[in-house]
Amino acid sequence: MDKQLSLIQLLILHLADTPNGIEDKEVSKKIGINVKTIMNKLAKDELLERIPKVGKKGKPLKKSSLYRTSSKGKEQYKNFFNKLLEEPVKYYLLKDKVVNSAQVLSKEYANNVEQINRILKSFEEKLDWVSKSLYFEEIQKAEQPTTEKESFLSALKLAYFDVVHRSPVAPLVKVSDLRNALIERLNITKETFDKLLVALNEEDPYKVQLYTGSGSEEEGIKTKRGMFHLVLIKPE
Amino acid sequence: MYSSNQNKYESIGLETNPFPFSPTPSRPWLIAGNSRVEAYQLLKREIELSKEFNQPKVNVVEGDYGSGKTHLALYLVNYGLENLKYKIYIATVQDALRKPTLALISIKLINSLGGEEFLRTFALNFLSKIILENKEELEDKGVINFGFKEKVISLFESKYREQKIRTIVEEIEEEPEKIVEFINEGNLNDEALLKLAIEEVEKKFETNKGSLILRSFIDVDILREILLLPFSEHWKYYNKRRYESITKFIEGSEDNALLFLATLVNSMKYISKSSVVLIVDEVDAITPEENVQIFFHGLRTLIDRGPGNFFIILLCTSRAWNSYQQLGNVRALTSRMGIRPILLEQISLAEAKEIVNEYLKAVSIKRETKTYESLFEPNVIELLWKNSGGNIRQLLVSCFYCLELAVQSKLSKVSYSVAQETLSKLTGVPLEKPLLPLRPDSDIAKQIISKFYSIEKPGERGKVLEDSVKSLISLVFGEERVVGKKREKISKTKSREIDILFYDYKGKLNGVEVKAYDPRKERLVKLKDIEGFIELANHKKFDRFLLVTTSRLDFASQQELNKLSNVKVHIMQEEQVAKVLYVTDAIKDLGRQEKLSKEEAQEILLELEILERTLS
Repeated sequence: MDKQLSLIQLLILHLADTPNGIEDKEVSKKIGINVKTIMNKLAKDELLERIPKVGKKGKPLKKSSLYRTSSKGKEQYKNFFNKLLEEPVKYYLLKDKVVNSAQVLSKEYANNVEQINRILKSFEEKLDWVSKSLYFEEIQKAEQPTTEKESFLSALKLAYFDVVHRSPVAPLVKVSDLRNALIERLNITKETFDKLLVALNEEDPYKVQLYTGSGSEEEGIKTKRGMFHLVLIKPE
Repeated sequence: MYSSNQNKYESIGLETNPFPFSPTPSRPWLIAGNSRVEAYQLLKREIELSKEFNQPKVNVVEGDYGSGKTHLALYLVNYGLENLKYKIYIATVQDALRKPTLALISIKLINSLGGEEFLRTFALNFLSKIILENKEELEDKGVINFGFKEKVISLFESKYREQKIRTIVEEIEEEPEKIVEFINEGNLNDEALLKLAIEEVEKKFETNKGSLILRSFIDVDILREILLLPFSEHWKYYNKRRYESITKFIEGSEDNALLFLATLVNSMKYISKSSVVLIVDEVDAITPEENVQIFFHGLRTLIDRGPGNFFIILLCTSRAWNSYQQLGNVRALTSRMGIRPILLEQISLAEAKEIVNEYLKAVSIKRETKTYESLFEPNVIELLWKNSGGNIRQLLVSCFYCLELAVQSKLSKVSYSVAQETLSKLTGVPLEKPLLPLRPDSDIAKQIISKFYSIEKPGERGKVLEDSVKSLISLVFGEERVVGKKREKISKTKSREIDILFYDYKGKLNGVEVKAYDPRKERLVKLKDIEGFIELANHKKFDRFLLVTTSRLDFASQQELNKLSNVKVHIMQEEQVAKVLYVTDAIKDLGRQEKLSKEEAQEILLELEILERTLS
């Protein structure tokens, strides 16, 4: 039985599915993170093939090589994507059909469209969270801070706007409330959360604002400017 | 080393380092950054709106340490609410020995306005308003006295009485202090005036002591005591401890304090026809919890029962406001606020750039060329801003150190490496001892002049300048040689007053008269204004006479003074006025904040021609 692949790995297999192969640098550029290690691992598992790269003079280069998805790899990612896309594609096709008909037909069709939209939206949300959690696992391994912070920021914003409605000191929110909400959703550690939040604040102290507040050391967040207990995330 | 006349910041195109070195806001008249401007406008709008309703209102400005709460408060009190006459700023209500009751708030409120001296001036302003509003009835009510001689004259000259009343009213309008003089000279009837004041109050305000709601209430007994403060030396109302008895009454109970506050605030509204604003800073400093409860209970009472059009702004950190929410009285007050506290957020990069540029522009030597905008090399502000975490105080303090380091390194700009070096040893930057020049920088000078001429009454303005000149003279000649204000007899029945009287090194007696009319309003010194001075000079009462004035003299006065050989007139230029007020710390928060040496004071007196005359 084959091991289940992560979204990043499947994405690499998809991108490397070209007749002439692709360089690891190009794949990294397209995805936005350094995937050299992941590609090496995929090659080792025979999901990718290594093809020698030909230099300007027509001779194969020793130091660099190209990657191409092997037939085993093709099978893996296609199976996954077919399975994954089956349901939404079906609904998307249905949606088009229903929308066109609803314009001329009855109210009943409009309700159908609405229902379909709801199903699609809920599916998209689920997919979003799944991809985010998968994404973070890969990011932590790849150690690429820029994209990691950006994704964390969007997850942070979602959680902040969820928590702020219940905050007695709105628009400020307790760091501990936000932390509890996110470490569960993203399946990350407290240390990772703190590290990413401080990094975001240092990069743009307006977008992610920290305020002194009351509470235990454990509830707050430690930065080089001291201990903070409250946070405010600015909308775009 | 730089001498006191050299400007070490000239190489970077600045008059001085404009950024604050300490946590106290150094230039509170500067307000920049969208969020701060918006917070100010929101408060201003709320205050204006509250005028429409005769209700008290409370609002909270919340922000972290160094987010600009005090700066915003000082801006509001001193610059932003120019149309309001009474704006009170209380730095803190925390007192280790006393509880923050309404009584303490009332005492701190009077003290922040100037204590006994304020109440005395306030009483004269109140009486002046009564006289102005009732000028048609002054004779009928017996407020203006006519002597036998005047009654005879008025038989022949039909408009004599009308003319006299008009002159008295005009003089009082310009200088309410004259009320005391008019009463002493017998032109005004003290008892009739007080009676008229109380009658007017009873007509316009609620005076029933049983009132539960004090929106338009004035306690006539309290008001009477306040109104008598300027006449405490008068034999009829003699009481050396009148002010103490007022404060003792306030401290008697919370109800007494509430009655006093209602009387004072409603009287203020009567004089100014506008709302009264009270700002209480450092609410987060109140400890222990019991005191927080007491303070907020007092405010709650004030909001429920207190005077209308009274706008209270509390400044508090988010941390404290958050923890106070568990307390019953705070929650009760929060529910009476209506809107959420105004949060002073961390600033954005664009705001940081705007704020820094505003400071640099204020003291830039070549403002019009906008070279100050490139004084900090690209990315420097961003680096400082990121390091500050969006905190204004930290940003400005690091700007201060960056400028110092750049000047010491003989650079014409603040480079990225200077900023990095500054941040790596922020408190360790070796500072040269600042040499404060005698002249204020153009930004501060502008503020001093604006504040000075915004003192409404020329008499009060003249007193400020007079005190400054007097302190310079005392510093040069010694306290023992300065007599100060003196009334001298010029005939058996007539006496005239001179502002400053002092003995110079040769033992000669010098009389100095100070006039501070606004030259921008083209108010010239008229013969009437210096009548007493001329009469004293004519009687050769002293050896030398000096007239120090901020505005020019009209033709008639010039002619009269030209006849006198012992009189010297010095017309002060705007820069001189600013300098004198600056070195003597005459305008609150706009002083040089360094003790003046005798030599420096001598230099200024020479400029004012006071010293030149006396040494000759």
